[in-house]
Amino acid sequence: MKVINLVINGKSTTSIVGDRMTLADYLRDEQGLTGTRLGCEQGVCGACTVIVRKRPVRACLYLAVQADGQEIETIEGLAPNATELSPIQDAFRQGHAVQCGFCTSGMLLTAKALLDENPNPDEDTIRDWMHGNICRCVGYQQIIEAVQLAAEQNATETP
Amino acid sequence: MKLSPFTYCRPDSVAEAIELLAGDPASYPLAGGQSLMPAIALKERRADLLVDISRLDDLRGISFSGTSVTIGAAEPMWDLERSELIRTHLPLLTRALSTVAAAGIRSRATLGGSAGWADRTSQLPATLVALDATIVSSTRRIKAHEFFVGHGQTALNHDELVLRFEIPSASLGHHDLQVVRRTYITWPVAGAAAVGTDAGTIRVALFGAAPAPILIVTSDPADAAEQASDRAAPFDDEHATSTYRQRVIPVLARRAVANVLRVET
Amino acid sequence: MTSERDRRFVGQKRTTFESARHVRGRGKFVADIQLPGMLHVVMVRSPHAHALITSVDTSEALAMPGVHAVITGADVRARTEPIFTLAALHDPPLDIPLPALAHDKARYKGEAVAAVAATSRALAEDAAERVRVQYEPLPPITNATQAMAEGAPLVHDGSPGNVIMHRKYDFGDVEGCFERAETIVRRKLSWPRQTGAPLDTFGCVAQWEPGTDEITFWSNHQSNVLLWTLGATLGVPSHRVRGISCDIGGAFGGKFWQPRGMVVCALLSRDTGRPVRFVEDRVEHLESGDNHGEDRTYDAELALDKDGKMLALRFDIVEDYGSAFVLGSINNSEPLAQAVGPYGIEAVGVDFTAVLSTKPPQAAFRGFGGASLNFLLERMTDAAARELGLTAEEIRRRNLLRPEQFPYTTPTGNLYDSGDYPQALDRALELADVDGWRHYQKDARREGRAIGIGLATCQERSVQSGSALWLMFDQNHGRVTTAAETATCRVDGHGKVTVALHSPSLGTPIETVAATVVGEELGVNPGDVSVRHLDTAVAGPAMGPVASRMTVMLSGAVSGAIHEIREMMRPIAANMLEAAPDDLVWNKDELGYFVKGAPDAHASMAEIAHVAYSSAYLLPDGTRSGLESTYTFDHPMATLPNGSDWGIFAPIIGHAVHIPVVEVDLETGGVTFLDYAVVHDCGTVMNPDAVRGQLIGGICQGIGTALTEELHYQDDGSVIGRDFRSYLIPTFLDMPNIRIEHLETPSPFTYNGVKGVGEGGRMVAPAAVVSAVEDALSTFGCAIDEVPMTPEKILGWIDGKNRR
Repeated sequence: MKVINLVINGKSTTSIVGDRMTLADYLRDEQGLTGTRLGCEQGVCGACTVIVRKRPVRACLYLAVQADGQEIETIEGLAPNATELSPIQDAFRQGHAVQCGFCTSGMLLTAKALLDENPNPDEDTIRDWMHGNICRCVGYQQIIEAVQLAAEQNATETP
Repeated sequence: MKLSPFTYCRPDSVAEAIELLAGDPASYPLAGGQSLMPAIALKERRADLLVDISRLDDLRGISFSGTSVTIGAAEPMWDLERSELIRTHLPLLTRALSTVAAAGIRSRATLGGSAGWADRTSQLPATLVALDATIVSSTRRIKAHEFFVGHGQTALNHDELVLRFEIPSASLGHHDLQVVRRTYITWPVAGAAAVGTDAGTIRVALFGAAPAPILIVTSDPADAAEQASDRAAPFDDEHATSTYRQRVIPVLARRAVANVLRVET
Repeated sequence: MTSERDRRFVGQKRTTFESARHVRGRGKFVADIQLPGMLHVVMVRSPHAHALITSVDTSEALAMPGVHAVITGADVRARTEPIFTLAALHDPPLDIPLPALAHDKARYKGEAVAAVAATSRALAEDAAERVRVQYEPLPPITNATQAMAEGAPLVHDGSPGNVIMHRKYDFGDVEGCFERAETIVRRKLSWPRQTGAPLDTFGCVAQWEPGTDEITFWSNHQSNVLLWTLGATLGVPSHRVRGISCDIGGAFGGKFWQPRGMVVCALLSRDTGRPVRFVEDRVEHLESGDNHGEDRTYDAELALDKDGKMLALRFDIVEDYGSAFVLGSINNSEPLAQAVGPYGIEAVGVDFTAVLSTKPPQAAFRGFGGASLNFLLERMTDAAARELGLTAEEIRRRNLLRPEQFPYTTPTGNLYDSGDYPQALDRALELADVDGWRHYQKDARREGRAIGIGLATCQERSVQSGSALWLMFDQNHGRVTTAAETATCRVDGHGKVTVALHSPSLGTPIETVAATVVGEELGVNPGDVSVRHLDTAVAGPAMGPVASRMTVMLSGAVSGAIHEIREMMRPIAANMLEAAPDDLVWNKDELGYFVKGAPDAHASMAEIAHVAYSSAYLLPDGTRSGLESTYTFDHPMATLPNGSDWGIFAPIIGHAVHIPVVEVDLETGGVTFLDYAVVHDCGTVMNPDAVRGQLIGGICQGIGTALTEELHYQDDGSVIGRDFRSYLIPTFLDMPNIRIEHLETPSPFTYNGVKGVGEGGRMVAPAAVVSAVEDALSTFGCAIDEVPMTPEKILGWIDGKNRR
């Protein structure tokens, strides 16, 4: 057991965790942040993606103790408030990039990290950036379109 | 699929890390954990002790000496990919990194981890061989082509840590990378990393062709193919048979060399 | 029913309800269920594909920290009745049990033999490794040839020769057609096991109530039908079994029949007095789950006359059901609803054999066998074109049914409701610019590049009736024919509308469909409708989102309920307005009843609702308080078999033309997409984005089917494809952009002419992509008769394998 300090979606927290607990299990089971999904627990599907230091990270391959001292952003922290969505969330809805919703959290966070680094990515860049996230339901085309839509909205909102 | 129990520790120095590793035969150094964690989860590896080396300063940093680039073993691929130094002096490495898994893996995966894991189908060990990298461990310096011994096997002792890589600058930009894969979800089937040298030859390192990378030095695509065909020691895995590998490896060697020549002419 | 001109919401873009929670990560999947004191189950699984279980020692595991209970196959056998499968529906019943935990022997690698309940999944996994099971290995059986070989070991003692069904059917004059034929084309085809591999694996939570002996399941089961059978297995009256559905992260047929984990959790909950959760991990799902699709070979002949007109198709099919007979024969009966595809084939002959093997039991995967039947039809069509020297489009033009032939009865007795196949073909050829690609192909060939243009013209049957369950049995009693869907609509005391669905959500936006239909029929804004899901304890007949049925069935149920509510409001409004009920007209713009010819005399829905909920004294005689209707919509067209054919059992027929363009790397066998064009007809499009999503997602799976996905069994009975490193799902970098045009030929039998769409993309794409690769390799003369087309197989075809 180890004591860890994390900042999760802007809020500091201190916890005691077992050595083998992954960040994904910690977020889901200890923090109740179940929006971080587990699709394979072997680092392939990307459903558990969270953002750490502006980077998309597999929470299933990251021990909670390893994350000690880090700031973590999860899907629950993406919307500015209870009534509004961030542009990427809104674009996923408008562009029908969501069907069953299981890959959605990881897709959104990966897309957010992409847009934060590259506000105007072309289709090839989006495909290359996002390809570690598997969607088995809606296909990828609408997700690409949604990322592009969000990029356009970002561009018009921040002149 | 949860991780079997182990003890995690985060030593403050290389010496302490080595002492911890030496004290337990079922110990592993842990940096990004992008290969190790799935292996533990899938019960393919058993670990009693994980020694987190990702925050050791001695294993971090990217620098250029004038003739070679030095890369800390625990530097995440994410940072290597974005390093202007590496892009300028080792463009083959930048390109190879961009084909490893995906952004969400490279954010934590390290070059040292990939080298230590030494997967026979990974593009990075072959790239290090093609670039004639020197691996600096806690006790010695080893040339990349001597470092990789077999599938998952390196010349490293259990109580020895890779600290950094020293890679001679190959800034001319004459390079090529060939990768064959079934889908982008998973490891490559096979490939070739090639780079032109000052001597006018081309160093081609093949992956997925044998348990360890195969280095071919040539200046002729047909010769590369012939050598690749002769020297391949292919294997079956879940993505392809040895027959298939034997067939495509010469093609990839030839294409890689031809592409380097095409850039040069 | 509204005419196209008057439609308000049907066919309009509508952002889905479901996405509102998912973009915030607030969907509630089964793995998100947390109950006080909940335990976690881990299965102890057989490392052998086939082995006698000689002993199970749980003592060490029971002593581990956090462990509350361990049960074995023997416990399950002693404490439960057999799980219901189609083997029991067979007449006479087949002696092929589906044990929740194996007790006498393990029949595939990964079959569960014991289960541990502990305070966390990690502790349960630790303890599961300490359950000591002794095995006596037996030879595995990994394909049908091995299963039927002389002296093969038996999977179940009650199934001699491992053959469990053999049937022969002639629909129409098959013999006569073959005698008349000028040309007979023959092919042997194979289709290995694949699976839907949803990101959300199967899971359930069971909670037994000691005082009342009631059991509640939370699960991601895609249909509630199973729940009706679990009571009998568990010895609990059916009305004390309650199912609560969670959000389902994709199912693709693989969550239609998942009884085993639920039985195990129920017993462990009873033993421990706590809620108990089991969620498959990825390996369990792929290697040992109840979700694998069809696994078959075809030996087929197509008879054609001198003009290239198809006369009859006959095929032998050998199907590998794995270790038990769970749903198997649906995968063989259901496709025969479209056995002749879009073609005017006069007769169909089927010789069907089903065998057992040491693989997991076959379940369903998006299409109930339809994808592989379409593959057979299109392969035979392309083979015939080649033999007759016709182009792929020409042979189809000569055989496609014409618009004036609908409704069309097929040789198997199914009805095709509507369609315009020649138009779909013409539009697709134009959309894809096939002529342009042919030029490109020619030029590229001169440079040594291999470009291929594929073509598939396929049916997407939807909306099955219950008869698909037993059509292949000789059963004469207790026929299941109901395949209904139910919806409950309520207008509350403030005039607000809630719809309760009796089935779960799995990615097809049924909540949005329901709200759209409410809006269409009542006039309210669909966004102002609230949608809920009922638990099975109070739900009506509902088969759920399977077999591309929900849009048709749910719109029937919701529109029925709304019409009943409108009729409930009518006498109340009439009383309020002092008018005759028959003089009232519902106004969708004003949301209320108007008196015909007196536009000022108006009672709004809110006013009527207020009376209905608050002012009983204003109610006319014979009416009661409240405004709620539960409406069950039965299958609109099903008929029974009649001796010569199977009757109508999936008559709502979608259709699609897919034209993929690929380039094959002749040295590595790699396949790259250059284009992918689709003209698709699912009748009236209810929600354009949702239809597109289903199509593209389905095509993505179909491309996986064609190129990369396979559960590949090794000689020792282990499988390649047991995790996501080896079960190869297409990614962002593997998928082309799909260009889609819709053709709408409304169904005459459904709400606003809608048809099903959920399985469609995957039912067509494999045939289309195979056709494209074969076209790219046409100079090598090979015939492609199998999927997936691995690079290694492609190099083999280039080398001259399977040359025709």
